[in-house]
Amino acid sequence: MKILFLIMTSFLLLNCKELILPIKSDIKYDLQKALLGKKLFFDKRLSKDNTISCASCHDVDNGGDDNRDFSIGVDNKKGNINSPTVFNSRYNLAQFWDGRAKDLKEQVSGPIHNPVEMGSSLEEIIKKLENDKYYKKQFALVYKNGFTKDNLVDAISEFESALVTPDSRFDLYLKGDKSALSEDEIEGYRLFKKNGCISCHNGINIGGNLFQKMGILKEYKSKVGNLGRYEVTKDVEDKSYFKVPTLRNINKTSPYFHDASAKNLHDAVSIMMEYQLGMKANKQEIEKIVKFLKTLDGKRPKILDKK
Amino acid sequence: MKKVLIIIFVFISLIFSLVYTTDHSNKKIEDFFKMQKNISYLISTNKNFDIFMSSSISYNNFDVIQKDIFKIKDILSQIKKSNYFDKELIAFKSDFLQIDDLFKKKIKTIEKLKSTSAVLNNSYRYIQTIYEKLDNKVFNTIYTRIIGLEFNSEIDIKKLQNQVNSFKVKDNTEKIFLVHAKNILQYFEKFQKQKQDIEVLSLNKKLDEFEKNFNDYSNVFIKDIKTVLWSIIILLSSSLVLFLFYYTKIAYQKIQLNRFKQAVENSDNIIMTTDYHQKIKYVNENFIRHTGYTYKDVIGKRASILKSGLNSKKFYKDLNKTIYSGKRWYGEFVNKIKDGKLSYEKTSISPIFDEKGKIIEFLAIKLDVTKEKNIEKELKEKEHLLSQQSKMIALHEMLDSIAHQWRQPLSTISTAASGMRLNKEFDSLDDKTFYELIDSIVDNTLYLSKTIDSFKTFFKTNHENTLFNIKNTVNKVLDLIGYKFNENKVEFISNIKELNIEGLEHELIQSLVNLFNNSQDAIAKNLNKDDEKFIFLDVYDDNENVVIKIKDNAKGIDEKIIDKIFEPYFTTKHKSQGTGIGLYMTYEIISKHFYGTIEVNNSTYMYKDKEYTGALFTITIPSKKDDRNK
Repeated sequence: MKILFLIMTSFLLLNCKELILPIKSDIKYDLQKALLGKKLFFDKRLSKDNTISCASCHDVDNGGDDNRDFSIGVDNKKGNINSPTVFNSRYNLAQFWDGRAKDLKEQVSGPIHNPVEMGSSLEEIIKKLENDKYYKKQFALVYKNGFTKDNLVDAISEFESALVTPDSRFDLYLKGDKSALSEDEIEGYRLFKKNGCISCHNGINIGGNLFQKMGILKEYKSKVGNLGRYEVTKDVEDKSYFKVPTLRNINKTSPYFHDASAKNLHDAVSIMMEYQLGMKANKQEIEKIVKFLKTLDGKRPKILDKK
Repeated sequence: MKKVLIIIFVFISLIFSLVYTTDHSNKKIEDFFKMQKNISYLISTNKNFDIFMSSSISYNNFDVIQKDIFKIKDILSQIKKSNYFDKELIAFKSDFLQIDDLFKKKIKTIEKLKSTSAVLNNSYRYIQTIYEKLDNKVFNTIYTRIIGLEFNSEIDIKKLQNQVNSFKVKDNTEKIFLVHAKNILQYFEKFQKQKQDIEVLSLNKKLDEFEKNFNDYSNVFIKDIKTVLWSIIILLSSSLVLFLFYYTKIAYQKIQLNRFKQAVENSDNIIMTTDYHQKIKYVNENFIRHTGYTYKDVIGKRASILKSGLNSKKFYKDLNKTIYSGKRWYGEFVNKIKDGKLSYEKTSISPIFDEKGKIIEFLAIKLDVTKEKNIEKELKEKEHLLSQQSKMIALHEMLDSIAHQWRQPLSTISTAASGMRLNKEFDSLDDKTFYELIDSIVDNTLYLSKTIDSFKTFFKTNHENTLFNIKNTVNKVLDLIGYKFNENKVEFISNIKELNIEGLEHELIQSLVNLFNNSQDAIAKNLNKDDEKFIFLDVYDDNENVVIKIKDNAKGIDEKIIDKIFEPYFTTKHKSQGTGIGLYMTYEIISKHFYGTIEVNNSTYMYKDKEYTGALFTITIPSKKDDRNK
């Protein structure tokens, strides 16, 4: 029995390579729509008082989030959850920490309507922007029925789905360039797998494809009272379950966790090991894992430089 | 024609409905197969779920299962969007909604299963590492049992949990071991419950049933489509048969018509049709041959171009009145052909009606009778000539007769006058002699005057019928030629009943004169001077006919020529004597003017105990005018 199990696990370990896949460098999206969405993404008029744009909290020049614990919305209102990165969000099984939006389209209207974020509404935006010559012209050009709520949402989500960060050093390594990572980093990756981080952070987005409980082996007490998935499903079993976040560009998206409780990667990794894996890791191991995590910074999305 | 149009209309509409139905059925089938594909995709993806469930706890790339989840969600929302089970298959709607619901539940549980398996995987792996570090062998059993959980369903988790809880830890490693053992037991219980939750859904069964029912439905609707298609095809082919039937009928009619056309084209009659306004629409070949016109000359022209002007205005008025009243007209045109010659055309003109009884055309069928007309004309001229000739002969005869009859009285007058002169000169003229001589002159003059009256009657060319007494007529004849009988010592024996005949008396006189002359000529020719010579005349009535029999004893007519004696210019006499006209004229007069008959035969008879043979002419004339008109 034991031998059989060992054989099986070692056999499965051989297939570990396939647990994480590199981002394809050419993804399909509608450039016209995405460019229109880009314009909207940076347009502060999408907020109630013209102070906040999508880009205010999802700084595309800086990891796709705002590096604050909690984002600041209209009227300087503070949110109660850490902004996740907008990068590679197309690969997530759902959007938001609690996964309440099944896709990017559903996600778009979330922050717009949230009173502590943009505090506006799609109707209001349409009213505000329908006389804008640029939008009027461009929407008429790209969409059959011009500037509508649906098309607005569609354009923004199209832009967001174009925000991928391919060709991180780790991706290059996965693609076969063994020199792309240093020995420590490779060792970090090995530890990442061995310790079981990869059980939840796998797939193309190194996370983002399942919900997991925060505090499996040790109860996690958060300063914020967010119960994650439970807020959506109202299923007791879903309490404290959150969408496993992507680890891509993790180096640029501090602070970490939904409650922004980890300010740096060291803290984040050690918390994860303690609460999720139930193990006390030594500092060296953490160091190496952090080194590995830093190889996940991808290239700037091409769409940002397109006009 | 209308029927054919209807058939064609039906035919075309059937084809349209066939195309429509085929197209519609195609869409239906297409939709069906699309749905079938979706369903089989749901089934196969569901199997992937089951494989995922049943696979051992290990590392996973959850993207793989997530892809399937996305795909299922996508298909389900597509099916909902298509409204297929709202419109096409309402009977399947509740089943589909159930499946949709089951999938939602299953997916939700699989999401949880992902988390659970990830947790289990990590603890399983880590507990092995920890176990290696443990010295205390009390954990052996619990470790093997925990490790074997996955493969041995009989292990009682509750019991294990109790065992684990009962352990007292000595160091940190043991503590970690127990934490993970507890974790494994807790999550494994969860894991099994989740699996069970999914199994309870029995989505597989439901899906298989659904697929089966759906495929069964296909048989029903394919059968429906087949029925519709077949009925259309049957209708189509039957209308095709009908069409062919009418087509052959029409073709047959065409052949018939063509036959008639051929007959008309090649007819010896002149055939022409005109429209209502008498504009020529058609002429046959014989028309062209006969008139010398070309088709181009006449088609579209008025029929009046054929007029010669010899038919009266009344003639045409009557013609138009007849044909425009819808009746057939018969008559004889005198038309002019292209080179100006006259053409006699016996013609019938029939109006041709349409279905409503309105005249649309006229059909003229003509027979060219120009030749016959000319022959008739020639005959008439000839007859006229003959009659003139016979008149001349008669005149000659009369003059002869006058000369003969006047010679005697004239010489008597002359003798009396010269006797008176001589007696006067010798002065021997006594009163007795004077009166005797004067009386003789006066008597003879009277006689002359009387004979002139007779001649006058003969030459009176009165053309109006009169009622005359046959006995008087015979007397007149005798006045004319009676002297000949005396000269030739012919005994004339007559037995005449007093009868009246209506007609031209002088013509009958002429006929009788002819017959008597012939008899006398025959007597002179065939009998000796000393022979007794007879001419018999019997007149009596018989069955409303007047019968006149003239008989002689001149031995009869040669049987070889007896049939030809009434033909013109036939004569047995010497050229100087006969012209061959007399009997012909007699025949013509009796048959055409008196509507009677004249026959001849040789007759042998007894007279005063002696046997004689001679020619017997029998003239039979109807006594009443009515009979003659028959």
